[in-house]
Amino acid sequence: MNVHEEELQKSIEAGLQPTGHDPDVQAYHEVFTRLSREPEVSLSPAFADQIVAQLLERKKHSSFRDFFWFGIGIISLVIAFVVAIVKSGLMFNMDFLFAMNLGFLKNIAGYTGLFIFGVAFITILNLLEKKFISEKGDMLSRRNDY
Amino acid sequence: MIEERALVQKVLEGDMQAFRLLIHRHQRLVAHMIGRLVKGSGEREELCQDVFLRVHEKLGEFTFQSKLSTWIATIAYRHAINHLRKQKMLFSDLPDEESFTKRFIEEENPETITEEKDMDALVTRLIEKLPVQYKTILTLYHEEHMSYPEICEVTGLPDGTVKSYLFRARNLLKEKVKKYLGKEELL
Repeated sequence: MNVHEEELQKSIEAGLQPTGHDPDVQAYHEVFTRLSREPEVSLSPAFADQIVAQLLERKKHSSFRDFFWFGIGIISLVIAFVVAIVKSGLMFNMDFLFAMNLGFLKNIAGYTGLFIFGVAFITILNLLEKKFISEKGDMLSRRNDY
Repeated sequence: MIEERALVQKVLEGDMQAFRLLIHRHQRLVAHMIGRLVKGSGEREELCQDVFLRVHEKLGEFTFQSKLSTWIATIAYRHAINHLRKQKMLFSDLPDEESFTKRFIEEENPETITEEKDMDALVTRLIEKLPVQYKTILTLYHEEHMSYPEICEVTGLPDGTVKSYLFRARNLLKEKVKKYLGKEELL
């Protein structure tokens, strides 16, 4: 940076008025005067209302979408469960209901501990993922995002 | 007047009236940022709206490490840059300093300069021709009265670069205005 120019800029910024005929001082004075003036801002009077309306519309749309996919998920889970039981040898015994074959459920009945461990393991893994990996991802995206 | 932290809390709780207030407080800043960087007046308001939608979406991540206005200005700046990138406009690479300075100061048709009756209009037009980084720093420093650290946060540029760009931008404008004043005296 040119030291003289830098000093000139600082002086004009500090309020130095052009007294002589130094064209640099005069030109800087004009520039600083114009720069300190606020430009015209032309946003519509309903600017804030339009944004709020868009937000409400998005919210409505998003909650419907969430509800829709949650419903689809539950229905798919029930269908998968029923299909798994039927495909793994379901047999009705109308005379003695407790004796009927419930397919894979009957097969895993002997491994209750393993089944509980599996469910607990998946649950804990999800909770840890949500707590640590998602937080890290959020931090990264926050750094890259605006 | 609601304090910044309380206002943010209310917005996060879903209070739309509080968000309206937040918009009213910062719309001038966003409009200045977008207005300086994006040329088409039609898309400016739409971009400003997008900035506030983004602010609402990301407000939960605001940690009060800086002023809310600085954080919003950062969103506005990056949104404008993304828009320019989509429009395939050059913004990241500053033109070679020497050649740009020469072109900026000398290449303008003198008749066009003397036709400019209003100094305000002339300076506004000259600012428009500056590189995006220069325009942004001029806006944040002179119109928004932000400090150097705040400008660094918004633009992601180091302190020395911000000071250097501010100096160069004002110097370029001065050279052009000096030329204009010289022509005016001759008339």
